[in-house]
Amino acid sequence: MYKRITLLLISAVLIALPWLLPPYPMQLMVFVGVFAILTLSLNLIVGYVGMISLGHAGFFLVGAYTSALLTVDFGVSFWLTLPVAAILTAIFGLCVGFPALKLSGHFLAVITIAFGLIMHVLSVNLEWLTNGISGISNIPRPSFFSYVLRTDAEYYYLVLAVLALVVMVFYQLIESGVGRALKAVREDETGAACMGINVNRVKVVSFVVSAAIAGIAGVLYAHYVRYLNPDSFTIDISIRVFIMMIIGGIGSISGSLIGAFAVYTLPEALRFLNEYYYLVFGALVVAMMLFLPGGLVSVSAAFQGKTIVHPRVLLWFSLKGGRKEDRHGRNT
Amino acid sequence: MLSQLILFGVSMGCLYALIAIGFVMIWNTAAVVNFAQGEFAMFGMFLAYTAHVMWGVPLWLSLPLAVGGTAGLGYFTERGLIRPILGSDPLSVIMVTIGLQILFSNGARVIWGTQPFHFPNFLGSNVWRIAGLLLSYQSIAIIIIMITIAVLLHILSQKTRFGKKLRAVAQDREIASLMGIKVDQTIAYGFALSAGLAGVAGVLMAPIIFVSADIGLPLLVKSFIAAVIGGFGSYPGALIGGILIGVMDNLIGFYISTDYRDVMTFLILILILLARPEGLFPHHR
Repeated sequence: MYKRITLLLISAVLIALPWLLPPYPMQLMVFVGVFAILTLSLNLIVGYVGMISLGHAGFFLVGAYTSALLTVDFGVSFWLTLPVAAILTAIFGLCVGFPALKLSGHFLAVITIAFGLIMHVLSVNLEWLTNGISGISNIPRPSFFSYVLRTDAEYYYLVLAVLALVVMVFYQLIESGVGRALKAVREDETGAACMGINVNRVKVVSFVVSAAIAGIAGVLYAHYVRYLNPDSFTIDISIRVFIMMIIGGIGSISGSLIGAFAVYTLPEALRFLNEYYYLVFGALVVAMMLFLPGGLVSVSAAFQGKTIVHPRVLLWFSLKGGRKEDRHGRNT
Repeated sequence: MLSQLILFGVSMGCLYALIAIGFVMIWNTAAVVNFAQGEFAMFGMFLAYTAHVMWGVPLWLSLPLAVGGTAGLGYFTERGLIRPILGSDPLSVIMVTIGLQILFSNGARVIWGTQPFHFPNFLGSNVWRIAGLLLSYQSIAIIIIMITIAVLLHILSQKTRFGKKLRAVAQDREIASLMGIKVDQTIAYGFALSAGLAGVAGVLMAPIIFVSADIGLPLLVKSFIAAVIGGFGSYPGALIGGILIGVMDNLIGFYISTDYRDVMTFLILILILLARPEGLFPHHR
């Protein structure tokens, strides 16, 4: 009951947001929405299946460019390019996901880094297709019949609707047998296989779904900024999304949403720092991980009296003296 | 032409390999994937630049100073920021090193600015002509230094007490501590050593590429890939992986296309990993 009321309140605030916020923060909220979708897609494979991907900017790029090229060059409607881009990204996801079956951990991380870099280099160099570094401009906004979603508020509702849909699908997936299969694969592949879970299929399907969702985020991004160039899809974006996911709280839907919001709006809150911003940002990430390794969502666990900071960290920084611990955090 | 390209590729590859060996050393001893490894090389470059070009310290002194400073940075990074979270969730450890990467590269940007600097070529720009081959002093010097370091590292790890401690910690931390090895201290020295190696790579690289604050991430990516190709955990593997990347980069860049150099290199690496999913030299812990 309590949970349901909170959920209702949050959705009410999210829906009322265009009336509450001035124009510029509204634009930020659209980006937050797009990046929340991207973070969720990454969280699906990292948080639930335990496969590391550092190349999600690649899928983001494929989605964005597919939709932009189809609408600009061929005048296809946004509502048609959205599924087409999602399917194409899913195919790319399949191509990267298959090697993922054989590889684990760092080996997979390298493949995904390489994928992201290859996509970026291709978007710079395939000038006949992507127009190179000059990019694609005049990408149309989507329209309902003849009504064009011109304002930020209207686009915000579109992003919010897609985000809500993704969250709902995610929630259903996680709470169902499929979600339990994903977590089982994360915890112990052999054990999961013994319980009759087709580990290979779980991995490939989740990778493909994750890629498709990232592609959808890319489409939403392209039609909002209306101008694409390869600089928006570097490895920095993959790392940024990774940071969003972990800062928010890995393996948690609300964590991804909070993380995307926190990391995307932080530059605005810290604007007074000017060129020192990234320095402070890096320090914040380090401090966060030292003192709040469970991410921002673990703050609510702290209110329930659980320890969220690793005892070793507290000891190291002498925040809690009097106990001697060995390197595994056990009392001696 | 081919042999010169290969020679230059090998020398660039040696530099990637130096960073990759440090990367592997940190992974083996501390089980930390250190995303700040490229920044150590960048820091070494800037220290050498500051000492030699800005303050006019002679070269023979400024290079060791730079390497020592980088090793010190590695040591204090471990003591202050990595040690408290050793042994907790691997993803949070990775996140800390990613945070450090952002911190260091932007710290350098704040200290030294965004302008790339040119470092004087101390390795000599002359070439040797032997049997129709043009061998540049620079490449040969780098390769000789790499061989020396490899031999020294081998002696260090096989013959000295410190090397044995490092290997014991890498094999089993708990049992190493039961044998009276100060595990934390060994890990900190391991960090210092690997940061020092990255510092050497940075110093040697300074005359070849421009000294700039955002060089760390590309170097990290190359050396990470080198380490993984080599089996992630094997030192000879990291060396060969690095050289492989350096040579392929050069050959593809010259014969096929500079634009698609990275695409081709990475595709080949993906193919290698598909054929040998555990790298060229599988390393079992």
